[in-house]
Amino acid sequence: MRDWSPIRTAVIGVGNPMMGDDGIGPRLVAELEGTVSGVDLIDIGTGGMQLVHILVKYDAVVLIDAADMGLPPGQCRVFSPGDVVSLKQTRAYSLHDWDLMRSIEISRSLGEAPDSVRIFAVQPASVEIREGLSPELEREVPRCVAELRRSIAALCA
Amino acid sequence: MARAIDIHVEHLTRVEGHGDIFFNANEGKVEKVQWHVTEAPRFFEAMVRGKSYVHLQPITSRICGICSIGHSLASLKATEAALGVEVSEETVLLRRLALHGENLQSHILHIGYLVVPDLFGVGSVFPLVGTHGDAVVKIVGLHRLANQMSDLVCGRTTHPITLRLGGFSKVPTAKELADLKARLEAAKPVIAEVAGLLASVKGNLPQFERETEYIALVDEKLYALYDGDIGSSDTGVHPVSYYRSITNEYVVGQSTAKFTKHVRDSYFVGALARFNLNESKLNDFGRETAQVLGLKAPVHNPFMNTYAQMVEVADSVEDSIAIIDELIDRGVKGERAKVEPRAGRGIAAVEVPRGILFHDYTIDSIGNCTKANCIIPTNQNHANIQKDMEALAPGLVERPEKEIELTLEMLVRAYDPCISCSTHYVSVHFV
Repeated sequence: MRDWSPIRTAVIGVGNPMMGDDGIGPRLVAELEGTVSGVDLIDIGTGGMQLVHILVKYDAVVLIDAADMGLPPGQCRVFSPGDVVSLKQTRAYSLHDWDLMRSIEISRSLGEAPDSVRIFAVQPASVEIREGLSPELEREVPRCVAELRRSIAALCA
Repeated sequence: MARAIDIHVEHLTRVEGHGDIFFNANEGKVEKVQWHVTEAPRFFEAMVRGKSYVHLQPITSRICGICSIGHSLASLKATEAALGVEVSEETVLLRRLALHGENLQSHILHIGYLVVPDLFGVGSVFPLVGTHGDAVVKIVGLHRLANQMSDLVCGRTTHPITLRLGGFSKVPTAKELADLKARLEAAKPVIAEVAGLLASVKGNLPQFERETEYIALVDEKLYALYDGDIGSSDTGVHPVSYYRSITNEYVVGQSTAKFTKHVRDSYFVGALARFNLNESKLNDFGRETAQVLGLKAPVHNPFMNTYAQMVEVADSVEDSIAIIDELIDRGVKGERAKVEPRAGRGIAAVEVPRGILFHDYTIDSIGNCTKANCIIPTNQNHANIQKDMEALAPGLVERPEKEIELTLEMLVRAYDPCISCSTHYVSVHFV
């Protein structure tokens, strides 16, 4: 087990496993269980504003989420919140329907966001009411895990 | 002006769960106004049937993510009543503290994230970060404190793990309690500021009144939350065992959740009902906050439920401090009553953020549940929301459509409905 712990670091999976490929965040966090130390692994699910209360505890975080980037399923991109503009149209149906980027924005406005926030975005094949990933995305999980481990290592270097 | 209005709000925003609003008017006359609940039933009562008494709380806690502490307490109290278990005073104090934590979490979340945007004329809390950043900081800080309180007493923020049959699996230390007390003391001026902010925008709430029956737990000494008898503004005090005669659930075509009624067409449960029945039991901070907000019982404007929640935030913080003092004085020992299976029936009521909650279990001699009934607060408010809409609608007909829509949405939001929890059971009969 490798220890990546010079700073308070968390890897946070965002998404709903009952909405098909939206569950890629929690799934990748589960894949890392028992393989890293010194890094908190958090499945926040659809926790919405709870993210703000979690971000305050860390110096560095990797947030894993499904993102429609117009790429083939399973392709990953790593970026900072400032690199992108969120196109999500949230109507704030409930506390589970929040925009990840806006939660980071609130955390920054409160002056308590981690110094380093990296988004590990994975292109879904289908987001719909279904338990588990689509076969197209399931095939790509080992490669996503490898890429994610490289991102965590880079963050903690 | 004569015109046809046809409003359908599909999946109302800033509430928990899914509900729709329909409003049709023609030539200045309201033809239809309805509150529809569209969630699928949850079948929790069927889920626990046949399960051991030890599994009732962990399963029913999952009825609600926001009220998981309240559901746990109602479940534990009902199970303990069925099994003849008496818990210690220490357990009752810690459970009351847990319930205050949940009340704070839920009320601050509803006031700060779900209702305040309406009062400032924006669609969600996000734009307020730029315009009212200071208020958002205070609200997030209070929400965080409430989460920390639940973490300490219940083992985690949501879905408690320390609340167990007969007592607690882990109790906080005196130092942890003293730290929490210091943070609660520090939060009092912040709460006063948030109450002042709410008072400053009170005029943005619709001036609408409809007297109805108010139902909540009542107690001779306390502002009843954890325990008490059933109080009705119309019929007085009744034992909790009388609950089915209060709720009288019935099925309606427009809703997957049952409606309820007592002596009128509908009744109100929640913070406003508690305030109306228990105002005299508020502590000093609760009373001061009610004055700041201009609330004096009886209040018949349902939009004021949010303001009654703010009063309860203050009351809960001060009562939590008093409970912590008492716990530290007596020393927390982790007392746990012995629990053994036996046949019996237990009925319990707890006030959760949205109102009075009932759990009722029948348990057989080997400890398996043979029958369960859970009646959730939002369930009990659906009929009152419908009746409020019917009374409110005629006065809205001449307003712009957007304003009609917003006013009806604000009405539902004022009840802080937890719609998913309320769709617990629908009886069907095939002919």
